[in-house]
Amino acid sequence: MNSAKKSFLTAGAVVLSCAAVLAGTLSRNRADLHLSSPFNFFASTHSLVASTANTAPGAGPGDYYEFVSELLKRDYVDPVTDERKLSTGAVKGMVNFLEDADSRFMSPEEFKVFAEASSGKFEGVGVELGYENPSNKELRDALPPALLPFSQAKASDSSTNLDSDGNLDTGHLPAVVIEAVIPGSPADKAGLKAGDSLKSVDGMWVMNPYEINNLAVISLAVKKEQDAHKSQPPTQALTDLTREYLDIRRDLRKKLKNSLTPAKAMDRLTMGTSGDVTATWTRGQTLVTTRLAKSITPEEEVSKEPNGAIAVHFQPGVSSKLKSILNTGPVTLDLRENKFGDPAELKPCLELFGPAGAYGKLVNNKGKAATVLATTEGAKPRNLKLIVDRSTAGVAEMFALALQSRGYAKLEGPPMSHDRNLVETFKLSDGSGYTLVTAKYETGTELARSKS
Amino acid sequence: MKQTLRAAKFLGLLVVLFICGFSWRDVREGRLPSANTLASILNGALAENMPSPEQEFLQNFNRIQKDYYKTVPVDKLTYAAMEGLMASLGDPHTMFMPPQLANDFNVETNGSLIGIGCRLAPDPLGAKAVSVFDDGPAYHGGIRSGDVITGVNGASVVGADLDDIVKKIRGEEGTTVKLKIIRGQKSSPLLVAVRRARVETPTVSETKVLPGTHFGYFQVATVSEPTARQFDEELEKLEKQHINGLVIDMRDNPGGLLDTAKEMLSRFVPGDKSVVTVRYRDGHEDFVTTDNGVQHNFAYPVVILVNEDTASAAEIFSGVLQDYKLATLVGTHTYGKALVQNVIRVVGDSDQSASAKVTIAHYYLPRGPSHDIQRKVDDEGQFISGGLKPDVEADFDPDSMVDVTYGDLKTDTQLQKAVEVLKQKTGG
Repeated sequence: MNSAKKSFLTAGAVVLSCAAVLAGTLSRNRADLHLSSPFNFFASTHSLVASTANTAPGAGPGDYYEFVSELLKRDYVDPVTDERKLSTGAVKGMVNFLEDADSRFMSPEEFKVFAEASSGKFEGVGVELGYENPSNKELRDALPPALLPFSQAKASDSSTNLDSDGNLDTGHLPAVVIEAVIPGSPADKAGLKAGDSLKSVDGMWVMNPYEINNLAVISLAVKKEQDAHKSQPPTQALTDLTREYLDIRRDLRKKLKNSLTPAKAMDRLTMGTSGDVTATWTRGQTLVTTRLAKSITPEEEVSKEPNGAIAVHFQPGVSSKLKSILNTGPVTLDLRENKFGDPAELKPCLELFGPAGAYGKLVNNKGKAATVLATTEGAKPRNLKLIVDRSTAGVAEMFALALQSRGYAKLEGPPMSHDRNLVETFKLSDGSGYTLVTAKYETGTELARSKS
Repeated sequence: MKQTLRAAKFLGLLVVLFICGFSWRDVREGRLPSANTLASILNGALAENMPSPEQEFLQNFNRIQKDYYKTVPVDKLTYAAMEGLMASLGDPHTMFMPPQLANDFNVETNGSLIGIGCRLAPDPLGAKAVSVFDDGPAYHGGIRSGDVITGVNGASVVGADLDDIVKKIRGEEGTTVKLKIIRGQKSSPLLVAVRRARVETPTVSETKVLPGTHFGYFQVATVSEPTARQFDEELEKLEKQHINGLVIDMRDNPGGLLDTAKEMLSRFVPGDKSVVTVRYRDGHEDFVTTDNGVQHNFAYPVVILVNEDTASAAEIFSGVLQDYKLATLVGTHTYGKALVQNVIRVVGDSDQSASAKVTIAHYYLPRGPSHDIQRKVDDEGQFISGGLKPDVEADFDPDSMVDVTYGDLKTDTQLQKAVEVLKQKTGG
């Protein structure tokens, strides 16, 4: 072997050795961070805001995980047979910690229903339900007339549990409201509407912040009356108030004995394909009672309405369906009853109605530069009308705003839901899953400069 | 042939280097290389579809930390994850305690801490001393109940958060803290110096002979390290006043140490009698029995007040006396916690560490396993069964508008019932 060949071989060996080390490090990163791809439906959208990550130095989450799971496997009173239960529990703990109505953990059963609904198959009575944390004003507006005179007691009393936003602390208990009604579903036939707030299911009271607020309001009024007439014989007003207070408290206590948590109530209405369910709702100050049969309601991505408008639902595949039926003339799209939406369909749908370019931005609250929502292909603008209302949410609302902001569409109808969250979906290996708000949509494309 | 061998050796070297690169992160973070992760990457097919539970946790941790649209502090997210992990077992007593909670828990079970020895409550002007412990540093420094602390070491604490004020007041044992206090309506504040020392929190309190009776009363707040001795001391105070009945108030007592409960029970029960039988998951049993030669002569009937928040060691104390018919239980059913927990510092062992509380065994009262008191709840967490059943049921009127003060015969209707029971037993 001559010396040139030898040195060539040595050099090759060194390069290969380095490559081996590098390959090892990279595969480790991959193993730790990216082994499971996000839930298939939305895999492509993850790149909208996704980033790679490193664990913190020192005692990282992995150290905690190992310590605690080993401890439980060794010492817990019952043998821990399924370690995946522990890791799923950890993910659930994290998602719940966010206390975000649109970032929600779902059990395998719930996630299955969610995934089917995302692709246009709705189990249960055919509604899309969501949590709503009412503002102080909304709470006051919902007070029964008899309690209205006392609502001021709350606003002026600084000793009550007001959170930093000035809302009464109802223990983070949300109300369950209809966000969209699936056309042709049992709920649709029964006349339910977006915005209806759930009161009871199958005779069981659904815990909600409104009624708990009622109790808070009257209890404060009693206290105020007591303080105003300290060490005097009770006034007639106090006697009346006290009677009212006790009535409400007794009523609430009775209801609590036969009650459902918001999550359980949701499941009863949106899961299952057979049997009946009775539910009562409030619409403003009126009470609506419905008896509904559960079934599967399919929802088309795109369907023609009698008046010529095209109803659009942002399920996976909606853009290609839409493309196949569009000509170049004026068109009206009906964007109502849209809660679930596949973020991956946003860009391809925009590309059907406007030229390539920027259509707003996806921002986060981390003080970092936002991402511009830009299309790479495009079409000639046309006379485009979009029918919207409060059931137009999420991807549908972003779509409408994006086109409106560039002047490529006219919106028709009442204000939309104001839900402009980019929500991505992730599945865990045991079948459970969660949604995560990864950005908020804003019109305008100028990016705020990072402060750092 | 020789060349083939050399090539094989080189290939082997490459594999070793790959593994080195792969494990680099573990080495850098000072732990053993992760064999699981390595195994999963070598077994490619498995790895793509089924990450190990730990990998799955880490992936989702990183995703939420990086991709959620708001900033999520790494430590808080880690604690939330551990809380969820431990909660997944469905046992309310197996739980993760972040550092702050872990510390509070520690103080509660030890029954002692370095401080000035007084209980503080929020006040618009700073912190109000609601109770000053007898013979404690604050007492010796001249602080009395009702004083309001408005300054600490020359800095004003008016309007400050109680937790922050407490942090400022606490410090090393033997050092001095200067406090500015306001007493009553006096306009000029006082300056006092208090030497920080180890103080014992009073867990047995509100000792008194109930007005209009000869019945003694005290509250036991927790069952912690000093409780048995404090129990003896308070009992002695009462017996000097010639009581002929005793009410031990165990309401809202979350329990604490089994050893302390045993010590207290040994005052009532003769030696070598069963307190509890502890059964571990491998089936082996520990028998906890009373101590010899420390029995006290109770020449009068004893009533224990209990409620749904009477749990753990407090429940053992009450339940064992009920089993041996040495006390009458008055109130509502108790919590029903027939499980023993162990508390372990998680990742490191310092005051800043978090803790994990883990259920490690079941226990049974002398009444035996067939009368298990384990709490059962429905899907919504509502109580179904379990706990000790009181001998005499007494609950508060849910429609009453009266603010109840425990130990106040005028408002405390459960205490009224206890007195009634004692009167029947003493024929008075």
